[in-house]
Amino acid sequence: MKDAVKFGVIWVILSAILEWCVYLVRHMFYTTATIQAVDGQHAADFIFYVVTPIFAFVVLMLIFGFTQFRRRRNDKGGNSPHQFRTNRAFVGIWIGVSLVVNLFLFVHPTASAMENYWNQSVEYQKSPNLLVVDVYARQWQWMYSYPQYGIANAVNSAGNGELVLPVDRPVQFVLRSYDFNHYYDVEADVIHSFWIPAFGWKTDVIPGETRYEYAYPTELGSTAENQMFRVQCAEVCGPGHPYMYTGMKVVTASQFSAWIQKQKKLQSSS
Amino acid sequence: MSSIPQTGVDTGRPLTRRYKRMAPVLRGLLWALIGYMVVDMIVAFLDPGPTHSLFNLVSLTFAWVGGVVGWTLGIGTWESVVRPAFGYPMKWKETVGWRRYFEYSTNHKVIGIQYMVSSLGGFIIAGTAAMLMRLQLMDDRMWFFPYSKYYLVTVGIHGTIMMFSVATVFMVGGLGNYLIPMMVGSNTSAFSRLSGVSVWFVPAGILTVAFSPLLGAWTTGWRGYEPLASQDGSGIIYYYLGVFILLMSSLIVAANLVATIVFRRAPGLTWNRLPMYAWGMLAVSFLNLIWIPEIMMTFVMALLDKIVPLPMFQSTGSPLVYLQMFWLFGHPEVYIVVVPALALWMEIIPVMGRKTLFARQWGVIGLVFVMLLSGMVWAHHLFPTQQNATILPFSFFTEMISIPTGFAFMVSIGTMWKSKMRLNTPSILIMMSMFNFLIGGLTGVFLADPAVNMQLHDTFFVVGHFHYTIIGGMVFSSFAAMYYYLPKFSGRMYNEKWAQLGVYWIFLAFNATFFQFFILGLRGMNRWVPVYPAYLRAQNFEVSIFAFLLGFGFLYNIIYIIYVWRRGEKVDENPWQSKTLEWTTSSPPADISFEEIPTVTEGFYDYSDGVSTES
Amino acid sequence: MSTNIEPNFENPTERVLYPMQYELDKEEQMRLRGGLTLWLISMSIPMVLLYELRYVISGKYVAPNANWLLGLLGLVAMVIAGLLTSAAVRSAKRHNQRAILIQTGWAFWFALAAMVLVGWQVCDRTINPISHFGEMFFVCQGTGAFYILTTIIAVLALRGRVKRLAGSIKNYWGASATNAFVWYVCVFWALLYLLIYWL
Ligand code: HEM
Ligand SMILES: [Cu+2]
Ligand SMILES: [Cu+2]
Repeated sequence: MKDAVKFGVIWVILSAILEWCVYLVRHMFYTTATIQAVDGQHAADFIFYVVTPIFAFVVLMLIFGFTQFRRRRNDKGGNSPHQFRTNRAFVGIWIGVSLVVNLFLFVHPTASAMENYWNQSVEYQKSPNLLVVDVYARQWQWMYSYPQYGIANAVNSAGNGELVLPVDRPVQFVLRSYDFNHYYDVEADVIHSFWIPAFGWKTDVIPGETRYEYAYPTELGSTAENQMFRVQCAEVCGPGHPYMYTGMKVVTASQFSAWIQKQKKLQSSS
Repeated sequence: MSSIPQTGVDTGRPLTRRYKRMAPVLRGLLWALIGYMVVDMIVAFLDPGPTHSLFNLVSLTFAWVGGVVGWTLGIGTWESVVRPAFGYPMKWKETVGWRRYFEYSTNHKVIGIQYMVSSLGGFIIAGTAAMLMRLQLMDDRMWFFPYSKYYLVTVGIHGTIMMFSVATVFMVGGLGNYLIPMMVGSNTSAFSRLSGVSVWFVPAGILTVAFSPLLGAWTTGWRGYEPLASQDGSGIIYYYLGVFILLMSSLIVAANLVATIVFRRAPGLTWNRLPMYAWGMLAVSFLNLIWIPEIMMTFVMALLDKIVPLPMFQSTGSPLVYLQMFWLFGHPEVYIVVVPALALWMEIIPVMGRKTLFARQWGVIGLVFVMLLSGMVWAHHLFPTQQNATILPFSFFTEMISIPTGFAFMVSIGTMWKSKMRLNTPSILIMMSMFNFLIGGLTGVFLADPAVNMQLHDTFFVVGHFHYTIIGGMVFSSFAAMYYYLPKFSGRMYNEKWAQLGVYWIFLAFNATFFQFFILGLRGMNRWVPVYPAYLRAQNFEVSIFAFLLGFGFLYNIIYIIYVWRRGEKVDENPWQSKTLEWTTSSPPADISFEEIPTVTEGFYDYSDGVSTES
Repeated sequence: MSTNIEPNFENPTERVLYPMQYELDKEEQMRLRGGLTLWLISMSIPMVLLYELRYVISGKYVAPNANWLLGLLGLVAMVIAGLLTSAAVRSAKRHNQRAILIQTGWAFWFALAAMVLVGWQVCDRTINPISHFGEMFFVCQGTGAFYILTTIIAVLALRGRVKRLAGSIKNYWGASATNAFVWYVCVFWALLYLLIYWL
């Protein structure tokens, strides 16, 4: 009993300290520039808080094994004086708690975050303000076009593909692995993954299929300032995979319209 | 005991005399070469390729079959298995002395050691590959490898050899073959001839994968996944074939272990008394028997897809089918890797703690449920690949599988509670393994959540997670097993000081390396890249330093174990006062482990003798 | 305890591992049967996969367009081979080795015919591999032919042992195992046949 009480007290204190540490480091995602990234961050934080006492429990047990329950120097050997085959209460609580924690985590944040995400995408689709960006992934480049503005293959001043998004406006990415310059070659392409680290998600681009992904950028930023703002292929797709990234920017609404005008000019000149 | 059959073999010869032939390994290599070339010529003649008259993908595939057959026959199965199977007189005897480790044998202990050594070879090759990867990652541009595809093929070789010849093999084919017959009180395994053959598939498979880049670098990583594979370097066919033969080996091991445990138990060894490690092997072997044929068939399809070629996994077919089929096997695979480790915790802790195993039945239930559930979670490897609507059920099962996995912790912890833990190298390693696997498991809870997974998938966070489970769980436990069983294998004992030095070394280096993988992943480092944004350079550089330290730490332990095995101090037969049957034999065990088959009268984990029992 | 297959305890180096040359007790037989059953169950899993494969890959119904007659002939040949090995098992019960040799000899030829009939269509390029039917056709047909090949080897091995060991044969487990395996492959191919040519 003495050991159990001692363990309990230390466990509570240790958990509290660790929870406080988690509170300090909780911004795990580093850059969260969309509502979706913030949601993911919240889910991660929540899980972090929940698993920390479990971590503390097992680690403390191991520490007890190292200190409290180790064989002393002067011990001549022999078996431990405490022998029991099982302990109903402990087993019951263990199983009960692990069931409850897991079911609970499944309801929240797992299911709730998915539902939330789903609702957001439905809401964005209805929004008259929705910006549609067609994303084409092929070995090994990203191309972006803005069908609402008649822009195909937006490029920056160096002629490389560039993704520019306005802040505070829902975006729908339409992800395909073929593009307007190429025939759809049934054999050519492979799976890519469209990842913007600062946006908190990624989705694979599957040859022959169309996938959608939604985002609502809330922070300004650009690759030049923060590399978490970049479009990176996250699924290995051949020797060019490491090079399959482009720069991107999240800009204000006025900067965005200026950029659109510039792109339009570029399109008509070429 | 019934009479021992005497048969047509000429027993008039002196016992020590060996049948004269070339050294089996050399002969195996020679025959492999001949088989390879002859078959290649024949097939290339029958089915000429468009570009080269001597080689094409089809001929190289069949040539490989010829090579493996030649190797397996040359190593000794020609006179010991094949000829007798056709009724020809057997001109073969089990060799004695060191030579027997380098040829076909039917002794489960010899086979176990052959498995362990082959697996160790794989570990060193794949570990070297890891070191080269970390070398490249010390800078953010290409500097060590000339092209990114060479980095990617190194990643693939590292992952493939580690998974299929180390993680799946060492504790099952190696420790399992050596220990299980002794644990259940039998002198042989159930199908000793078969398992004598299967062990030689391991070196064949490792070499096939290791040399595959000669045919052209492949970039798919350890999954060899379609549709990328079908347009990848031709070396990918040797990935499929090499893994195929490694899996074949594991499949035979599985059949052998199940049959041994079911049919070869000593009298009185009821299911209620079966040692925990044997339960672990049983669960793992069932997983192997179910899922290995599945992935082998998948690999055959992918191979045909490449060499015929067929359009199965391209966009007209279904590009996702291969990934689904791969992970259908792939997730059980990770449990194939850790279940032996979990079983080993429950095996060693009661011995070292001198305390009765806690809640044994829950430990067994845990192992069995892990086995059952592991077939239902595969798609969590594909969260970003799936349509979002199909994610939730897999997320559910993924979170649920942590419950039976947790039982192993419950049993271990419950046993440790109020024990008299002897803090020696094996028990310290077991506790380290529990610590590392705990981190691996808890980070898995993050990954099971789709909203979080969307960010972390395909980043170094995942790489950190699975190294924590595999190295933390399986590799640390394997080292624990090696230190624990060293006296059994060799009759010699390591020195606590030197062993603990190695153990703390790898623990610290491991955590310093791989804990940072989580941080790297969160900071935006994705997988399969030899070049990456410059802001990650400093951390990668420093991670690589720790990785090298870890590599040397592993090497130190391996060399030390080998040293003790050969030169260590002699020790009693049962230095840990363990109660399981393998410790009732002499150490090292004689060729025939049990002069007389033991009769079991009680469980092996009861330490309440001489102690008044509490509730 | 089962010690029959165990090595010579006095001289472990003198292990004698001839199949069929020692008497099997009940336990040994259990072990062999159990092992074979496990193995066959495990080897059936590819079948499950092949059945799924065609529709999973194409996502819709794909009409078969192969020559059903060749496949059927292959099936008939396999069944005849199976009947012959069953007859060989009965002969074994009567220790009639001559009959076993004759029956397995014919079984070999029929199994070979089955393999040729099944394998033929893989090589003769009548079916376009670049099609939804073709892709699964190649895989299934090839798998079928491979399984039949293994029965041929098993039948030949059995025959070789009966021929050469003759008087010293103590058990006929080899015959029953081969027979079980041949029938297993019959069923395997029958299922594949249905899948390839009719479903
Ligand atoms: C010496 C310690 C090790 C180091 C430093 C190391 C390092 C790495 C690194 C850096 C990667 C990721 C490469 C990338 O995705 O860009 C990797 C991948 C991998 N490692 Fe290790 N590793 C070690 C040991 C092991 C062991 C012992 C195993 C298993 C038994 C293992 C299994 C794998 C697997 C399966 C992959 C995935 C390969 C793929 O993406 O296809 N590693 N390792
Ligand atoms: Cu890509
Ligand atoms: Cu990529």
